[in-house]
Amino acid sequence: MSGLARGVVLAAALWAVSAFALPDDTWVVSIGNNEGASHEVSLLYAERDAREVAEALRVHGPVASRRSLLLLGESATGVRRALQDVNAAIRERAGAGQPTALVVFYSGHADATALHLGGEELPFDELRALVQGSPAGVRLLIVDACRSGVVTRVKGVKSAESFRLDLQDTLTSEGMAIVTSSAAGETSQESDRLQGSFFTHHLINALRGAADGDGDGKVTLPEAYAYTYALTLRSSGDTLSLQHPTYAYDVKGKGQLVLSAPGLQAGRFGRLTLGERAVYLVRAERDTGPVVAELAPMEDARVVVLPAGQYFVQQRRPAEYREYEVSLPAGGGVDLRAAPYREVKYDRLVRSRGGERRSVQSVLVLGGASGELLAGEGPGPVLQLGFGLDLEWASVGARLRGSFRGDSGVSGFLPHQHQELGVGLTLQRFVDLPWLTVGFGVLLEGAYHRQSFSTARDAPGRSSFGASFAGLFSVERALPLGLSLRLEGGPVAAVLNRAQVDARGVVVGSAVSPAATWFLNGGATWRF
Amino acid sequence: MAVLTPFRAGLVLALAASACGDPLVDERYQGTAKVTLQGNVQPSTYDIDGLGAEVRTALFWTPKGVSPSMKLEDLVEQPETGIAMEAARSFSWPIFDDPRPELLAHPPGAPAVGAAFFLSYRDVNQNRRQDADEPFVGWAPVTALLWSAQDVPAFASPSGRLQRAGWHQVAAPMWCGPAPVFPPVGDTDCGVAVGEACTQDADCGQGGTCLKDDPWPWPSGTCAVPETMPPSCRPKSGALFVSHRDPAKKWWVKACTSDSDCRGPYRCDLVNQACLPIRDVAVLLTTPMSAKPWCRGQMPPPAP
Repeated sequence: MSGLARGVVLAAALWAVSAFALPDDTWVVSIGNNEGASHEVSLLYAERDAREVAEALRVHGPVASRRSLLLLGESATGVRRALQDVNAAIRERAGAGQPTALVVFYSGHADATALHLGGEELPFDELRALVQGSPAGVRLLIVDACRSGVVTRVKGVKSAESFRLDLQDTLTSEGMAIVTSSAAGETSQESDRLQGSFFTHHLINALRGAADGDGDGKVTLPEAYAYTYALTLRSSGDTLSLQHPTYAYDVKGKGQLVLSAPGLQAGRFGRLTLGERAVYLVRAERDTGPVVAELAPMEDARVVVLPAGQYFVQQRRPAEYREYEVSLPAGGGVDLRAAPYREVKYDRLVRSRGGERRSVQSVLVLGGASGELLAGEGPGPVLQLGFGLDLEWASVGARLRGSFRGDSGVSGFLPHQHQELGVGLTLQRFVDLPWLTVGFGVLLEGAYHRQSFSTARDAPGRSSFGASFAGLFSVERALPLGLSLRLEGGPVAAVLNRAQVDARGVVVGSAVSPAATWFLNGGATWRF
Repeated sequence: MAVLTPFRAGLVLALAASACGDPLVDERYQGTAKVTLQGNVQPSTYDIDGLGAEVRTALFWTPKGVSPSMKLEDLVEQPETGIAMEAARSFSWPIFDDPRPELLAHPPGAPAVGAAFFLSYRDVNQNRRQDADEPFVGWAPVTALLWSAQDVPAFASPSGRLQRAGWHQVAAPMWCGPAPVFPPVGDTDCGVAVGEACTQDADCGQGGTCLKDDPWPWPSGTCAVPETMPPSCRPKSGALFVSHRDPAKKWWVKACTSDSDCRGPYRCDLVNQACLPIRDVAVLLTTPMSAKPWCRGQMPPPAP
């Protein structure tokens, strides 16, 4: 059974169970270390992730600042001592009959047996014993493990052994849950674009409200896990390897653990109500600002709590982006469903290097006319089908063309038809204007020509191959659903094997020679 | 050495591909000629350039058959064969179309057969066909065309000879009716190199004559045996040719059944079944145009 399925089953099993919030005496130990073993590449965001998680639990938990311990760049010795000290403090409160909870978060390097903390190792067995053996009533261990990598500085375990932290085992302690950022044998990854790891970024957004599936203003552990799992898997799908967060959850008879209550927030935070289900990218200040959150709520009109301020929100719909300029007031809210937006088609995003996509595919159907190619034929109708690929630097495409011309000859006694079938490649550069997109480029084509004569005379059909080079100029007007109206045309220089016909109408020779003509088409393009 | 860049390679490939296949034709193309005639225009009292309208010559067929009583109005034009005339010009005249059934004679018990003559007219309205108000201004008096889709037996053929399927350029006027039989005299060629080139009578042997320009030019000359009264010798490989200018002049020239039997610029004339010069279609512009004899009656029988 997949992790998502297990998450869904777990959430369903606990649906009827009442929720309980983190008690006032909740301690958070957030550990982050960018440095691992000597042979491992330094991470960029492990310590930042630890700080963000601590802040998210402090703000949305809420967890008291005096009970939030942030360990950045600490050694194994330091972490061990910190956990022992926290357990001692918990023991004192628990002994007084107060409900207590311990949340330990780790972000950094690890292998199959131990955390790597700046050259020292903290064995998993010891970490598990420290958490499991804590006197806290509820214990939550979240591990976002690390490994050195390239580009995205891939985190994770060595492939030789699986990284399993009590997964699928029967837990021995009551009231403990463990969540890891990846399954056994998988890697965990950082993202420059998100300025953090995939797993932790989505976990933080989950705590902000993106995972509030029932809309009650509270985010339970199963809700947070299900959301984080889905988003982490989606994000890692575009990179080196898939990443499936896992969990082990055993809080017997206690109901669902509420990790955060963003719906109850006030003060310096605002509520952003999202629109329909889609992927949302929230940047600070402007469209080039740092990514604050990448969200993919599973329901419409999900509310997330963010610090008050200016945001640029990008909603990624199937055929285009919608972009919002949002001013989120402290203690107030903005509903994107009623907010003005700017619509941007995907092909424009590709060309402006905005958005995630690096290319957009398209198909087109065009009809029109092409000019005279051989004397006396006159212009004729054309039908074109094409496939295109919009890239950042240009658009390329392939075309299939059929055209027809006819004439009755100078004397009128030899009517003939001229059919063409062309296969070509296009290369265009587009310029996006406010209402239109104009393009200019070239079309290279090879064509098969067929001339047939409707006559009792001795005039057998003729077949020939030719090539052409055309200038391609186009204008497009975007329509909904990825459609565009397209008008294009240009000059054509064709190379043909042409017969030399004398004044009597008799073929006296042949030569490969150029011919100049034109074409003009109109139709529709569908980008997807 | 020029570097073969991808662009140049593509250009070379494009040019090479364009050379493959049949050359494409434009509006001037008329097809493949069924027969091509060589001819010239001989202005008489007419000045084509002063006519102010295009003079055209076309094939005019004889749906009623060829007979001495045939009139101009019995002839029917095949418009698609027409070409424009230029004064004192030679022309090469391709004929692209076989005659339609309505242009042919349909003799009983025989396939359809056609005989066409070359007539010229002023195409005043330039519709490329002869209208009732457009007068004839010339003709080619010594040439005719015969055509049939199948072999036509002698009794139904305009030439009085077996006519093979296809086109035949023949000397005109033709004999009307079956040709008489001239019995052989002797079983040799009379000691004359019948059909061979010559410059004088002595080149042909005792009793031979060198035809050079009577009744028309004979390229490189041709040896023949004159028909005498009474006949002294009739060459075994000869065929009788009668001058259309003077029926009293007859010669035995080389007989043939196909063009391959004849040398050089000579062709096997269907009417005479003799090797005769391939002659231009000489279009003679005269005025006024009157009824012309299209066939000259029966060929005179041999002398007793």
